[in-house]
Amino acid sequence: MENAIELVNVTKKIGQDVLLSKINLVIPTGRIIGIVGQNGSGKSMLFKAISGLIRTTEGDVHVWGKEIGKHGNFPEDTGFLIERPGFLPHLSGLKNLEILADIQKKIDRTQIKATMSLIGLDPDLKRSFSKYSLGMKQKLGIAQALMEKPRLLVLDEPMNNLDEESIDRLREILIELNQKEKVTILLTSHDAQDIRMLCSTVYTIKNGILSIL
Amino acid sequence: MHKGSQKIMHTGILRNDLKRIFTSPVFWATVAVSMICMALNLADFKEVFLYQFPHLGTLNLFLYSAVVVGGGMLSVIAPVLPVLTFGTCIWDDMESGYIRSILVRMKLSKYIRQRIVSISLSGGATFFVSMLLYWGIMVFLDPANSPMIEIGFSTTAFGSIYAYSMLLYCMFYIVLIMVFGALQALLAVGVSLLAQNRYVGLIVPAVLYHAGRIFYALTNYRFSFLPWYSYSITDAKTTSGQVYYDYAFYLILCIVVFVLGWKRAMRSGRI
Repeated sequence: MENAIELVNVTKKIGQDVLLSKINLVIPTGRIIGIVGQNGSGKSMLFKAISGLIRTTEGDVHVWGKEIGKHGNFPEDTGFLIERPGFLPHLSGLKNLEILADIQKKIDRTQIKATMSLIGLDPDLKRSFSKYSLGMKQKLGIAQALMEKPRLLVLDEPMNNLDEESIDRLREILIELNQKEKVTILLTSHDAQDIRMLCSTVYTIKNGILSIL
Repeated sequence: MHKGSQKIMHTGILRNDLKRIFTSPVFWATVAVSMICMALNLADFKEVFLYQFPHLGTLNLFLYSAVVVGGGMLSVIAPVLPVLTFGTCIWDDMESGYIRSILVRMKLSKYIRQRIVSISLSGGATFFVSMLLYWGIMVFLDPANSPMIEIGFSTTAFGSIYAYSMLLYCMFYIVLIMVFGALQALLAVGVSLLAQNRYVGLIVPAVLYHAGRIFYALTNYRFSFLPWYSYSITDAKTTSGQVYYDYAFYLILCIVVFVLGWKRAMRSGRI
């Protein structure tokens, strides 16, 4: 079976600081994998390496068999939520998602609206993103990752700023995507409880070193 | 059509940018300000129209309004106008974190290429649109299309074009100032990345422009061999060669500032 993600000896240094240290990780298709770690442990940096947003100092990153981070390659068929959700502040949530959806031209407005509704956002809300609450911003970030129906989801602290009801709803969505659509999911949290409820395998990261929990 | 079945036009990021630019209230405000400044310039020369040349044609009016900007209001405001709509969009993408969602969907090189095109077009279009609209108003005011009268531009930069065809001269001038707008917007994006601040990006290109011109004036143009961009091509001190030289220098300045700014932004960890 094809692996969704393969990291081989991935190291990231900035100056003398080692942010990721010789990370080896294989994520098979159809699994939900969790990574726990404190703030600054290297979780987001690892996700940036997987998404191709940063170049690794050493090692190789493959997503769906394609080498990432070199020659400007970015992962295909993958939805990302990395760090805080960022959108253009003066545009509505729907307009922000439409601009992103236009880049790859995979989905139409109906599908964008359906994803927003699924995650608990009103797609017809005219309010600009800057006026969204923290929870709504987080939901829009999650909708952005889910909307193109990717085969792989990489979610950095997806439960942040969500209320209990929304967290339960998100858990249900992720489990359903995994079981029905066979979507592979990699997610992080600083809350080990969150991760254990969803994930078949859990890793921990500390000072850029990844180990199985 | 059923509301649920409506489809978006798949336009890509560049066409989406253009849509954002041309539907932006800021863009149309800059166009309006540019036109008002040209009209004020025309008012400055009312003596010429009323007494010296009472039958000046449309192109004469346009030239007085738009080209003779050396001492007019437009010369003060022009360096700021083209940057306001889209001049700092790359920095805005970075500061908001939106760039991360874009770059997991398209190659970085393609993103930069498309953004540079949209930034240049937004800057250039500020002047292009305002001048075309203004020209249209001049034509409306002069339906008889009075003949052109030679008003002395043949001795200034690009005077040979003026002597050959005043219409061609006007069109050439519009293209020239459009390039100025594009360069000004490109400089703004580089400065905003370098300073990591959108407002510095909006202001510095205009400050640089005016500082350069004040320096020339204070030194009585002794240093006019130094490259400095100028869109005031009817300035007696400006030659055609100087304009080309200035624009080439300015283009290099834009590239250098953008590269330095991009490197700094990448090091800042905002991506």
